[in-house]
Amino acid sequence: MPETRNMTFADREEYGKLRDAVRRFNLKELSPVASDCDEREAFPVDVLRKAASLGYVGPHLPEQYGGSGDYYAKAVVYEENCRVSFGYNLSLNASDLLFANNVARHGSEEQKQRYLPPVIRGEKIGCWALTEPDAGSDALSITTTWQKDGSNYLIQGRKTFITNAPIADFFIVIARKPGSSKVDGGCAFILERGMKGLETGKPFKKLGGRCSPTGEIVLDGVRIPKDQLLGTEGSGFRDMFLSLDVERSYTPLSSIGLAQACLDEAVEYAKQRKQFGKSIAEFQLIKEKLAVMSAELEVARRYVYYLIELVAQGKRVSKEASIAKLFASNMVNKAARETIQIMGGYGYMREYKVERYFRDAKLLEIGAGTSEIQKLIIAKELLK
Amino acid sequence: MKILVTIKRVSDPEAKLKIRPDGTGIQTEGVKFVVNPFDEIAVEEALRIKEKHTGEVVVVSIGDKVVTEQIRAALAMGVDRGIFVNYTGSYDSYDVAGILAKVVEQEQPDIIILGKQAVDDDMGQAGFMLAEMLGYPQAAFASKVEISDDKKTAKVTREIDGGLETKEVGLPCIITADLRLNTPRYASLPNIMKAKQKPVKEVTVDALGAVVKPHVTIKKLTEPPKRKGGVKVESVQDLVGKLKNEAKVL
Ligand SMILES: Cc1cc2nc3c(=O)[nH]c(=O)nc-3n(C[C@H](O)[C@H](O)[C@H](O)COP(=O)(O)OP(=O)(O)OC[C@H]3O[C@@H](n4cnc5c(N)ncnc54)[C@H](O)[C@@H]3O)c2cc1C
Ligand SMILES: Cc1cc2nc3c(=O)[nH]c(=O)nc-3n(C[C@H](O)[C@H](O)[C@H](O)COP(=O)(O)OP(=O)(O)OC[C@H]3O[C@@H](n4cnc5c(N)ncnc54)[C@H](O)[C@@H]3O)c2cc1C
Repeated sequence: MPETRNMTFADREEYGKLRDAVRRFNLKELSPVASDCDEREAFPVDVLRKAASLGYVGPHLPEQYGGSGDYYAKAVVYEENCRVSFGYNLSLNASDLLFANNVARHGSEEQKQRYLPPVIRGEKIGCWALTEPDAGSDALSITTTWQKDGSNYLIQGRKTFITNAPIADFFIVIARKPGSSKVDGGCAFILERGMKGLETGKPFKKLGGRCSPTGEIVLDGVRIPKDQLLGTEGSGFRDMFLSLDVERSYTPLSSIGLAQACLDEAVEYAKQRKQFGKSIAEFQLIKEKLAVMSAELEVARRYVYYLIELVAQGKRVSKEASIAKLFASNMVNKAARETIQIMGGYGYMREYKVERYFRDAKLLEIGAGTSEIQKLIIAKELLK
Repeated sequence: MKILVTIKRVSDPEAKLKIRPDGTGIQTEGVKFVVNPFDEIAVEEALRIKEKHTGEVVVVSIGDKVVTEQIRAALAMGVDRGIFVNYTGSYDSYDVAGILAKVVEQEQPDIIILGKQAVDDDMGQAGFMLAEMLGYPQAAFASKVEISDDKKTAKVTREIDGGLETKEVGLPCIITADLRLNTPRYASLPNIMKAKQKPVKEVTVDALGAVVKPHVTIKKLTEPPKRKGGVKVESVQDLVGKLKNEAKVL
């Protein structure tokens, strides 16, 4: 593609090299265990540690804590991970983006020093907890509360659907002051496993992303010292919306990575599979599927790279992030469905990876804001 | 301790290659190129020696501008600097050894490590020829390398038919890397980014004072004949009979 060279970070030589390196690592280390981890619903923590030793965990985080301060590198690693194991990346992302990026953006110097290096080294795992049994899309309706208690805070409530909750060492918990409403009264706290009153449940059994443990957190009068507050009192929701824009901008890269994985499988299979005396790739109905998959993937890919450019330059990206997430998650669900279709009965079998891709893809229309919510955000910006 | 490693740009061993219609070479469009896997093992070994004994690792590659991509890949593994010998004409193993000998004269490394062969044309000659030209001791097909504490000798283990052979060679020496010498490291993110800043010196064959005059030219490349479908045999006797009478291997 010489005409698009240097259009975005992804076309720059060093990120091409990084992509090759991560691809190589993932094919050797992650790919052989990916299906098995999905089947056993187990997170490949040793792969995470190895990846961390190469700087592939938290590359966007500041250099003085062990990162590379490179938001582009995070994008490359993110996409390449999802090309091999969406679930692995889901958990990695909850740790180094949802948890650690919030600490890096809103935390005190002491908090950064305590929490960032072990997460970047892959020794500790973080999570970020907003969703509750009765508060999903309507995030501001959470009922987990915080109260001042001398020089401590007292936290009470319940979180659910939290990525990494069953295995996390560190937790960011969003809570509100009793009686407060809307964006006021929100606080984010950093909790650690072992704190009295903090319990996590067993991993839920899920449709997809199965090597990423998802679970509940019960907060029964957890008493924490003042310096575990992240940001300032009352800034919890405002800080959250700012960082969520960044996180929502990376999510579509999952769709790109997964769709690429589907397309790779679909093309290979279509060339090899013979029916009616020729390879099925020779049938126009199959060609049409491959062509549409590729067209939608490339269009989405370029828009998502553009979005990452904006994020890396520190621009506000609310509408752009929603457009990317909406379009890309729809695209990948179609791609996964069509890939199974191209593979016929084989595609439906667990032995083939596309069955996993198909299940994984669905989360992209739900997590980090459902597709309906993305539409609301886009329309709101249009009608402002 | 200075270690010089040679790297060749080769087509990805995983790639499905097609021969150009005129039979002079392979079609390069759309083919991915990589560092020759044996050279990558050589780079890894050099880095390990450096990590243990301190020093510098330098890579050299011969070819047109595109080979700097493979030099950068080696830099991303942790190599300190690169030498790019700009040469676009045709050459054979003897020419390569001649050019490398000139580079060695300039650089004066303590150890020169080459892959035992390049996976594209499988010649496997450059290391031997280079040792001969320089008059250096050589240890080919290394599966283990140990440098003495005084950095004067290298103990090299080689896999030979029926066992292992261990040789001691005085430095400077030539070593060629075999498959089981080590497992090359993955490039880390910081090293990939640092690679951009590392120096790559460009030199020409003329400036080195090397003479390129191929003794070997490739006349024609042809694809291996298509494999014929197998046959099913009815019984073991049948099989033995065929092996004896048709394949004539028994
Ligand atoms: C595998 C997994 C991992 C997760 N990880 C985390 C995590 O790490 N941290 C965390 O905090 N949360 C996490 N979540 C929660 C996730 O963010 C929520 O599931 C998501 O925001 C949707 O909320 P909900 O499930 O309560 O659905 P609901 O909000 O109840 O939505 C149900 C349906 O109603 C629709 N809907 C809701 N409101 C409107 C509206 N105004 N207009 C039109 N339609 C509407 C939705 O689009 C959806 O289709 C995770 C979820 C899953 C499945
Ligand atoms: C769970 C399950 C249960 C099953 N149970 C039974 C059973 O009980 N008994 C039984 O006999 N079979 C059974 N099958 C097999 C099933 O009928 C086949 O999977 C189905 O007919 C498709 O064949 P295939 O998988 O070989 O795909 P293929 O025929 O290889 O098709 C692959 C793709 O190529 C497309 N294609 C093929 N030919 C053309 C063409 N000319 N033009 C355009 N597109 C084309 C197909 O539409 C498909 O998208 C079962 C399959 C599954 C998954």
